[in-house]
Amino acid sequence: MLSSKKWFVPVTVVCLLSGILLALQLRVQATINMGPKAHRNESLIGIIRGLEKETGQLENRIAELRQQIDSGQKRAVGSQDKLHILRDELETAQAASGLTALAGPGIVLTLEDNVRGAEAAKIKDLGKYRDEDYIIHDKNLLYLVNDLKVGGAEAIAINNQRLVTTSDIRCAGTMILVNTTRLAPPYIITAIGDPVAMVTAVTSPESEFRTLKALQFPVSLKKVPIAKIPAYKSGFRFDYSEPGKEGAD
Amino acid sequence: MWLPLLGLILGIILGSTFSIPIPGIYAKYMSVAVLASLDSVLGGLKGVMEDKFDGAILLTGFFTNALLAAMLAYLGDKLGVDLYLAAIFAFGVRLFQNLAIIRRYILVGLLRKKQTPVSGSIPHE
Repeated sequence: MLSSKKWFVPVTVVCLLSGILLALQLRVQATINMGPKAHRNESLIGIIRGLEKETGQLENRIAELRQQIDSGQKRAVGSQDKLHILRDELETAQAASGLTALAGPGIVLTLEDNVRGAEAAKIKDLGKYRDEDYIIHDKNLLYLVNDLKVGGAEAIAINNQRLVTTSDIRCAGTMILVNTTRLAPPYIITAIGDPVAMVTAVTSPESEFRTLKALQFPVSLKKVPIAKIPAYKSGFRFDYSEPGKEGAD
Repeated sequence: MWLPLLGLILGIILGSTFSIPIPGIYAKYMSVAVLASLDSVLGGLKGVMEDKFDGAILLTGFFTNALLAAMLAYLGDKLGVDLYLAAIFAFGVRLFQNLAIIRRYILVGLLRKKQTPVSGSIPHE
């Protein structure tokens, strides 16, 4: 063997490069073995991630611009009394349309997929087992939101997605989308309003909450002294509708 | 002694953390290049054992072998001849030969340490 240690460096360099090549090849081979579908999935996931990131950036930009509009309005109003009334009206309108974050007494509903029930059903009778019987669906959320509205909820958010007039609650594959944003369990519905009235509405006989509870979904309901609801982050589009002329009829 | 092994592990970590997208169609050429680089590593170790090691030869050998092998495989694809099989065969055989020689040197080294020094060269089969 060589007495000097001169051979260390070149051999190490070659080993390093071989390692890189080896790891790359292993990964490429792994994706090939997954089949073309998985390969396509991977690139689609990449696209989705990219788009979601872009959406996040745009939402931040919207928030920034709204902040600017807000401070501009405040400056313009100044000390004139007449404008103050308009300003107050504007604030109410913004709160109603979901453009401001709100806080106040309310309730929090937590819903989760019935994982334990699914396991038990699989063991009992795999033939009769149906996956969709044990997961929370978009329509569950929709009914619950409706019950909350019946109970006089002033503002509602699901997993921090503020519900506004144009909000959608729908399912896409195995996902629930709210405001076209993907949600994952647990689903936490926060609502501001009279806690007692809302609890009554949500837990009325044959309500969605009771149904889910009877089906042994892990759902919970609690009143909170201060519920926090974020502002609506996306934009509004009015491509077709125009404000009608008042008193035109 | 452990430096090359450390390099290998570091390389594997680097290769798996930094995702360099390689289209599936090049996987075949990559595999030949990987084989060539492994052959270079073992060849280098053999050179060390035989006191004939030369860093420059090892490094140039590494790059030219890997590149040539990949190009040969590519050419073979264009010609409709599975030339990459030739590369795999050549490197595969050399890999095993080098491994055998290295094993013999290490074995002899261990035996020498245990017993009194044995005169003579490496036994051949």
